[in-house]
Amino acid sequence: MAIALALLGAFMLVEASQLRMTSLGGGPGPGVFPAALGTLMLGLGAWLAPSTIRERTTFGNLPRVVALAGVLAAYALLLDGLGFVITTSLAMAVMLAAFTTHRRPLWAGVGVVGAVASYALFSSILRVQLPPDPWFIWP
Amino acid sequence: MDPVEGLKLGFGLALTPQNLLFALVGCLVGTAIGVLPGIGPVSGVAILLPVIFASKVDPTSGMIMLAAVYYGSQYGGSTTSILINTPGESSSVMTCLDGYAMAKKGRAGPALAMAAIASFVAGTLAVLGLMLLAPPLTDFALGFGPEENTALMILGLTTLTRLAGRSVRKALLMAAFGLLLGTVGIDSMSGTPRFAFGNADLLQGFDFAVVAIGLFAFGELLTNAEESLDRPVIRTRLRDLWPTMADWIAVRVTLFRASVIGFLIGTLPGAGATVASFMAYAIEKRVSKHPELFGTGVIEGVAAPEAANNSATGGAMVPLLTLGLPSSATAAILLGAINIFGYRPGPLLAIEHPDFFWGVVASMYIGNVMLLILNLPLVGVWASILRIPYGILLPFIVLFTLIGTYAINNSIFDIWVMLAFGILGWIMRKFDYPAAPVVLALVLGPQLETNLRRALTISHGDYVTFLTHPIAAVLLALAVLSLTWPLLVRLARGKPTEVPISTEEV
Repeated sequence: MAIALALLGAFMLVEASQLRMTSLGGGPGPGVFPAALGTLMLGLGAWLAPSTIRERTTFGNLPRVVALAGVLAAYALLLDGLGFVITTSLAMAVMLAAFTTHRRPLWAGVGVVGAVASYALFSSILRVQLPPDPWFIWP
Repeated sequence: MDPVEGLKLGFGLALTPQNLLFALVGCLVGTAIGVLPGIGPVSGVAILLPVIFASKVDPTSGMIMLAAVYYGSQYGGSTTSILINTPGESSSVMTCLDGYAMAKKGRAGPALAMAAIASFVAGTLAVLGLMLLAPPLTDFALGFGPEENTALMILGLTTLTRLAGRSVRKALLMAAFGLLLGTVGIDSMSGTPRFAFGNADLLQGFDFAVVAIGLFAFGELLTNAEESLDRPVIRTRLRDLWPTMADWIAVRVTLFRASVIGFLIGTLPGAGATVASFMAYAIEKRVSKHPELFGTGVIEGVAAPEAANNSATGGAMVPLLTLGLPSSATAAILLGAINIFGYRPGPLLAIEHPDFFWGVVASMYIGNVMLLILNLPLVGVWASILRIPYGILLPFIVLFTLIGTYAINNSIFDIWVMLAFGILGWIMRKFDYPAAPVVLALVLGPQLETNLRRALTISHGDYVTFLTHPIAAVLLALAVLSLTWPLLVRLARGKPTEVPISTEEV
C-alpha cells in the first residue's frame, strides 16, 4: 500500500508541477502546496516501502466482501435509471437473502419493506431529496 | 459574552420544545449507534449530517442533534462492552474488562447503571469546564492571524497523527494523503482547477462526509462482512439495576478524578476519548488499594473509563468551538457541520453567533440529563438490538450509509466515491493504516493551505514569518516536539519506545 501511495505522490507531484508556483501577490501559487504534499507522500511511501513488502495479512470471507461491494456498484449503476425505491428494494432483498441463513424469502421481503419505509421516512417526512422514481409509482 | 449570561441564553434556546426533541432524538440515535456493531460515532455523525442539512433544520437544532449523537454514542458503546464483551466504540474497550466481568457475576444491571451515572457526572463536569475554558481561550485566539492559524492546524494534525495508529510514518502518510485530497477541485484563492482531469464532479472536490462515510462506515461494514456474521448473543439477565451503597462509596472519588482526566485529555488535539479512557483506567488502578482486583469485576473499573470517555467528548468541544480545531475524527465532522451550516468555526463563533455557541453548550448538559433518565429504563431495549442477528442488521446499516451519502449533494457520483473509499478503508484496516488522519486532514487541509498562502503572501514568500510570530513559533515547536518526542525519549533512554494504543475511531 505504501508503494501505491508513493506512486500516487509522484503522480501528483508531476501534475502539480504543471500548475503555477507563484501568485501575483508574490506568495505561493496553486501548485506549491500539492507539490509539497506529493513530495512528502513520495518520501514517506518510499521510506515505508521496504517494510511494506514484508507485510502479510489474512483474509476471511472474501466472497462476501466482493458481494457487498458488488451490490453497491450495481446499486450506483441502476439508481439513476430505476429510482430509489426499486433499486434499494432490490439491493436490500439481495443482501438480506445473501447474509441470512434461515427464512431467506421472508427476510428479502423485509428488505423490500425496509426500502419503502425508508423512502417514506426520509423523502416524504424528513424532505431529504432521494432519486425519484422514473415511473412515478411513489410520490 | 459573560459565561453565565451565555449559559442563560443557551438554556433558553436548548429548552425550547423543538431543541429538546432534537437532543432527545440525537441521544437515542447516538446510543443506538454506540450499541450497533460496525457503526461508530464518526460514521453516525457523518451519515446524519447530510440528512439533517437536507431536512433544512435550523443550524442550532442541527448541531444540538449532532452533538447529542456524539456523546450518546459514547454511552451506547459501553452497553455492548458490558453485555457481550464487545466494545461498541474503541473508547469503550477498557469498560469490557470489569464491565463484562461484573455481568458474568450477575451484576450487569449495576454496571450499566454506573456507566450511565459516570457518563452523567462526567458530562456535567465537562460542560462546566467548557464554560470556564471557552471564553478565555476565545479571547486569546481572537488575535490569531494566518501565521498562528497555520501553526495551530499543523499542531492539530501532528498530534492526531502521532496518536492515531501504531506507526507514525503510516499516520503521516495518511495525513499527507488527506491533505492532498483536500486540494482536488477549484483552488479557492486563484480559481485554478486542480486534479479534476476534466471531470465536472471532481471540480467540486471530495466532500469530507462522503470520504468519512466510506473510510469509517463502509470500510468497517466490509471488514464485518469478511468476518463471521455470527455475533455473541446477550445471555445476561438484567435485574437489580441500582448500584449498592458499597459501589457508591467505591466510586465517589473515581468519578471526579476520571472526569477531570478525561476532560483535560479531550481538549488535547489527537488524544480523544479512547486515550482518556485508557489513562483514567490505568490511573485508577494505580491509586487503588486493591489493584489486583481490576479486571475481575470492580465497579471503579467501569466508572473510570466511562466517566473519562464522556468528559473527553466535552473536552473535545473546547478547541472545536473556540479555535475551530477538531481534536478527533468525529470533531472534524462536527467542524465540517459548522461550515455547512454557514458559520465560521473559530474564536469569532461565540461572538458572532452566541445563540449557536451557547445553545450547543447548554444542550450538552440537557442531553446528559436525558441520557441518564432515558437509558436506565431503556437498557432492555438497547440489549434487544444485540439479539438481532448481524446478517440482518448489516444491510440496514448499508441502507443508511447510502441515504446519508446521496443526501450530501444528491449525487450518484458520491456513491461511487463512498464505495471507492470504503474499499480503501477496508484495505487500510488490513494493513494497519489509520483513517482518522485522512478525515482530519481533509477537513483542515483547505483552511491550512489558505492560511499558509495568506501568511506567505503577506511576508512576500518569506517562510521565516512563522518563526518571527511568537505564538506561531511556539505552536510549530510543539508540533515538531509531538512528532519527535518518542525519538527523543528513545535517545535519552537508549531503548525503543512504542505507542501503546490507537485512537482510530476517536
